[in-house]
Amino acid sequence: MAIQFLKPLFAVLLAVALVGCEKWADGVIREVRFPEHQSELAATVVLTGEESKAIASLYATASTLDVDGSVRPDGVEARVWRNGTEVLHWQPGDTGLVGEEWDQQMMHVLHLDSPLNLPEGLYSIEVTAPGFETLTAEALQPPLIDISMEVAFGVDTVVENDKWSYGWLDVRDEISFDLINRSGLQDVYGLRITEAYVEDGADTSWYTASIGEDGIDIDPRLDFNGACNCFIIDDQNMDGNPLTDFRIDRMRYLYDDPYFSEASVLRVEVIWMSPGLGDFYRSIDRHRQASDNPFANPSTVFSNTSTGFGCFGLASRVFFTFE
Amino acid sequence: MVKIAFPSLLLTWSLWLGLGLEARGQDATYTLSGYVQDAVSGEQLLGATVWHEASTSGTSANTYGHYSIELPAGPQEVLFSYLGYAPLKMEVDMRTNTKLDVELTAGLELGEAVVEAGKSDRIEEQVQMSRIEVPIAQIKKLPALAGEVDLLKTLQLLPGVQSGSEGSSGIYVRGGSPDQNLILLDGVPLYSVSHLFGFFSVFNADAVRNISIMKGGYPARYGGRLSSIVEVTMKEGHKKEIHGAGSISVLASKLTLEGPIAKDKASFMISGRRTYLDLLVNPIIRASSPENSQVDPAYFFHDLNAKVNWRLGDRDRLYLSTFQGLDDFGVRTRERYGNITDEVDVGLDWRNAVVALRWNHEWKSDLFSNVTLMKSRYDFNTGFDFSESSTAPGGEYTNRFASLYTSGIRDLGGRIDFDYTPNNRHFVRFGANLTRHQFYPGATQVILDGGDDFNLDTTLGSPDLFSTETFLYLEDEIDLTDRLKVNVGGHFSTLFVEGVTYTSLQPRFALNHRLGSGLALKASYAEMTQFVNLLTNEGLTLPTDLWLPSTARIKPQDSWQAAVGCAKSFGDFELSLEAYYKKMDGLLGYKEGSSFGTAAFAFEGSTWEDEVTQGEGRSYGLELLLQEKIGSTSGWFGYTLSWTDRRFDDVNNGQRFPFTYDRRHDFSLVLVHELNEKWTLGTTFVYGTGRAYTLNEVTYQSVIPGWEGGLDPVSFDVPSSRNSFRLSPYRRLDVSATRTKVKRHGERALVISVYNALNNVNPFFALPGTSTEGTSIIREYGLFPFIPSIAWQFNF
Repeated sequence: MAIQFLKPLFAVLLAVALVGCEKWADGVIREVRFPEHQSELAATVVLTGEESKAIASLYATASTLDVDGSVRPDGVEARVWRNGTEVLHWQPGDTGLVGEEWDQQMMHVLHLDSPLNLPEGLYSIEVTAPGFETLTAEALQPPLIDISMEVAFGVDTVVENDKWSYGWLDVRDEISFDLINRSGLQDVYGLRITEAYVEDGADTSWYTASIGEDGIDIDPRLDFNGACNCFIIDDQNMDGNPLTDFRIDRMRYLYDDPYFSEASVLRVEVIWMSPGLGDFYRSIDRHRQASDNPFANPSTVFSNTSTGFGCFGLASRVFFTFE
Repeated sequence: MVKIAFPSLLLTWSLWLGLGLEARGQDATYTLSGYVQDAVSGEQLLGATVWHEASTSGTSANTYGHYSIELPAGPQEVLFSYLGYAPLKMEVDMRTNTKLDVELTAGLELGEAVVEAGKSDRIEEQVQMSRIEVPIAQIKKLPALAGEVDLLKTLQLLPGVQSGSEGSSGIYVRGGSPDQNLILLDGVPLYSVSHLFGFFSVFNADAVRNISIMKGGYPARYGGRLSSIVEVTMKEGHKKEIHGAGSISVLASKLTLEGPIAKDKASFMISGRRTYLDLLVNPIIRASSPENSQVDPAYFFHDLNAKVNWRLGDRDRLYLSTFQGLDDFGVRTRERYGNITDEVDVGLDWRNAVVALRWNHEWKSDLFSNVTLMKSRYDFNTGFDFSESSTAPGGEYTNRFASLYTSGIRDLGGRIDFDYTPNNRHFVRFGANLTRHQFYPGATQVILDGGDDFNLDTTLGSPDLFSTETFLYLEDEIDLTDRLKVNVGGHFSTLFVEGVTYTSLQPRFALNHRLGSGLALKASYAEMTQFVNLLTNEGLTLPTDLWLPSTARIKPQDSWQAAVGCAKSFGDFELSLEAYYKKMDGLLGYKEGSSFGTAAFAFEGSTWEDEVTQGEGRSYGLELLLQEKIGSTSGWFGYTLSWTDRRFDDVNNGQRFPFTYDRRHDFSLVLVHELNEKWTLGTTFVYGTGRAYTLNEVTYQSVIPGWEGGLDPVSFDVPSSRNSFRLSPYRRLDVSATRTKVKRHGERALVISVYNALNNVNPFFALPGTSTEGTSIIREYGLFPFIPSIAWQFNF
């Protein structure tokens, strides 16, 4: 089917192609407007048992290209409720610096009269600030932890020598315990193993023990998480997943020179988390992993808040210290 | 409900077919059968139409050009036709079952401008919906990137089929992902179909006789993928004379030879293609390298198609075909500093190899079978190898660090298919398939040779996986009345893997109700199950994508799709309008933050299964296609209006989000116009809504536990939601002009084409940034600007 009008059409297309030639100089980059950002409240409030302070990160979101970044809105405050009763209240002036000396941020801090141990149950948080939509979230406070833990020190010792004949001992300690798996509920635990260092006979600092891949027999139920600096144990909401018979090997390295020997005081911290808190920590690990990898799938940080930014998490906690 | 009804439907069908056979015995009818082939080359014409006007009944030749039609006793007039060929009316005296091979002559040979489709070839007569075929001759006249004609990129121009990122040959059909396309080369599935990081497909147009795509309404004989069936049939080879074709373009050259081995009995076809950028560039790079260093970059791809067929007698034919493809990319450098020599070898390569042996046999005039035995392998290797050697009075010392990754699939299988035509109202197909898969999900060999100090040679990664996939199918295309046709069937598939057995019964149904005006109303319903998955990053189809099976932990993918539509021919034009809804479950994707690297380098205690998540997807939309396949002006206009989304528990906080290739509007115009015997013009124009994109546009302050006790402040840059941002729309105009000269020994053609004639920046990726004026912007980076190219083609 010959269509004569196609001839001029192709002439037009040829002209268009010539226009394309001129545009070649423009390169293959186009600049478009960055999407407008409507600032919202972002609240990260993790209330952990045995804490003497209740810290709340109450900030407003910002565009990633905003030079001021995320800031604390004026007049921001937060309340935690249980069964209609106010449990905690951070007022606008309840602030303090949080973090190590080299990286501190102003956050909302409540100094508690006694260690925080919230009773089991459903809690809600409400964060308000003038000009912002109220942020709300809910979390389930797990029960107090009632478990026992045993440590057998020095169950195995291996003498090591390097090629300079400098010797040391690999000492294996075995930690064993059971956790509780409640029927019909998701149970998520954190397990943090630290060692004590006494500096100049003064303060005791707790540092993460040598529990890397070499120092621990990895149990598939244990998933190390860099964000909470702990192993996360999750029953994945399945009653059939046993959370018993955990046996963890912790390694110590003993040298002739006691200065180099690892500390012998061991502290195991068991944290029973609201499930959302576990999701929050896991998502942070993945987000960090993705930020260094241009081929990684896009990632976000888990949120259980109404604005989609931040996390309200609750946890009970118990410490076991062994010398 | 459909699954419960299926067994009872099967029983009803069996009884009905039985009654049909009984009725057949009462009338004197005989079967006419044979092959329809090209009069000049002897190639089979698959899908050719056979029409008996007296009984207003007809049939189509199958994939091998074989037909079978029941005719009343006595002299009968039968019309054979095929698109682009002159119809042939034959008179046959039916006194017994008769065998008749028919040769049709191409319209071009007859000097005819237009040869219309046969009656039952018309779109409104076909029960099958959502299937589009594009003539290879038309594809070859379209503009092409770097002058290299690409079959899959042509399919991207059809409604319901979308391209991925700029330049990619991957296809996304009705909201599906690339792994959901069953791409069959002579009936054998291919896993990776890309060259040059996905910018070109592996199909060499000179070696291909036919290509079609099916987007839904799948008959029961197909299975194993959720979103489309792409059937590519290689040429069989000229049965009478030696012929050849070839081309030289800026990217690659190719040559095809075909001809008889034994005239009219056996023929061959062999076609090869290779890029030569490396051959041109390497000497320049070597010459410009410093004296103490040697740089050897490598990039090339090549592929080889070959096919041999034998006619073993009136009833038997044998086909042996193979495809081999290789991409090799890398760079090797060697530098000397005094008595120290450093060598670095970085690269990746991937290869496909497929061999298929097929045997056609006509058991009776109404029973035809095909047996296929196939073997295929796909390998991907990448890695780096660094070594430093030095000579010293004490001897030679070498330190080496290498990380070598490999993954792949081996398939070994066989299938048998039967075509049974008990009478003109039934066309029954049934068959079975068995495939043994061996997957190498990825193993990384790490070698560290530090002389006397430290040595390591270990392999990390997931273990090999074996699975066995089987299926049985039965389908019947039934002429219920003169105006109502249906295709009903069932596909039953199983997978045995890691001690687990998955089974799936998938009902299939298609209906065609022709109205008096010639307009046909069509409807279809199909369930599909998929036992293999492609783990891929959004946005790019890379050879690093991992093919993985369903396992004890990873459930198979399932889908159901319903479609309704109408179709009508207007002269040479075919018009179809279809609406569809597709639901997919068990979709596999990387978890947030995961990638090929994390899955491939899974350490002890974890596997790739820890890096993935499964979810669901939906796609629905409307597609319009107006197509003209032959004539001096041919082409099509396609428009798609669609919505596609995904939902995974572990992604986007479990909220539904738009699929990356959720394109609200997709528009394409393809035209080929033969100005005269010498000049042919071609153009394509494409417009598509911008790709959904995830942008970390929000930052906020938070807090996490510190490593030394207490809490540490931390800020997060996150997206407001997955794929919430839209890149700029995709717009591209390509034009081409072909000048053909007829010589004594064939034709020569010069093709000048321009890709992206408007020089539009079609975003490949985007990054946030700040403009020179200090405002916040997003920079969209395109890949292919205005690219002119030239190619020279010949045939003899």
